[in-house]
Amino acid sequence: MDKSPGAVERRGGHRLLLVKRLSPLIVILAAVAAAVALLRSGEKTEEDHPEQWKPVRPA
Amino acid sequence: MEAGQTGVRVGLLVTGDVSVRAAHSLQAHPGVDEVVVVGPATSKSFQVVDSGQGCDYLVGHGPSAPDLARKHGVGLIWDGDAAEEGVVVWGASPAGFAVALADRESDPRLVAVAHPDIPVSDTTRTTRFPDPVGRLGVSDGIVGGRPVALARSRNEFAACLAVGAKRRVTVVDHGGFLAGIALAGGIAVADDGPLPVWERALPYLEATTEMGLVMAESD
Repeated sequence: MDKSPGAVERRGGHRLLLVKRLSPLIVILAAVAAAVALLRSGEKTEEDHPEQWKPVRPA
Repeated sequence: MEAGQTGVRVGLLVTGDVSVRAAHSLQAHPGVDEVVVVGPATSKSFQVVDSGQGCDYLVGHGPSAPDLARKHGVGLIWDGDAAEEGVVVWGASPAGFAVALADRESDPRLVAVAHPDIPVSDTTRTTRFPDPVGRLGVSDGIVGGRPVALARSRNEFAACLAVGAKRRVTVVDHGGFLAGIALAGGIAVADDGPLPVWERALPYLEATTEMGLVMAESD
């Protein structure tokens, strides 16, 4: 393994480049997960909180 | 026919389970003196007669009922959607009941009915009915000139729903029970016929609630 100071900087640079390349994908995945969670929470709201009906006479 | 009026004799055309259920509701109605079955038939609950002679009205279900009623020469209370010769009250069905519900609402925006016997093929959207009917696919129908969302219930329950500007009004019950009372309630407006139930919506709805249906509202 190349242990010279320059080699360490190069390895660190690769890590930084990988994060930079993945960050848009991470953002998109996070957005999709949030959207799915929002939709599922909407379904739960309707099913878990049914309308409150009260008897009424024709009028 | 107003509650308390007496002397009315109703003949039951043997046209299926719905008309038999209607006969039981009519027998308990204060405005009806007697319910008979127009034979040939056998019945443990009602007297069986050979013809509609002596009956003020006949009650029948389905497409065969109007022709039978014409043969007896007595006006028919019917669950079909449109007028036919010899029919004094039509629309006495879950769909007609839903239209009558909507008639009493200001600015009705949605009229919907779900019933296990409604044949629905192409559903274009979904409508949420009160539990235990739930959300169902609906197809577009026209009843009494009004758009009605029609759904086939996945269980034995039925629901009629009218959504107005200020509230939602519904009736949910066992499908057969609801259909029978929807038909029997036509007796309340028969004296004013020929007409559909939604033209005299209030006395019709009052009669059906007296017979056991429970209306409910939600904001």
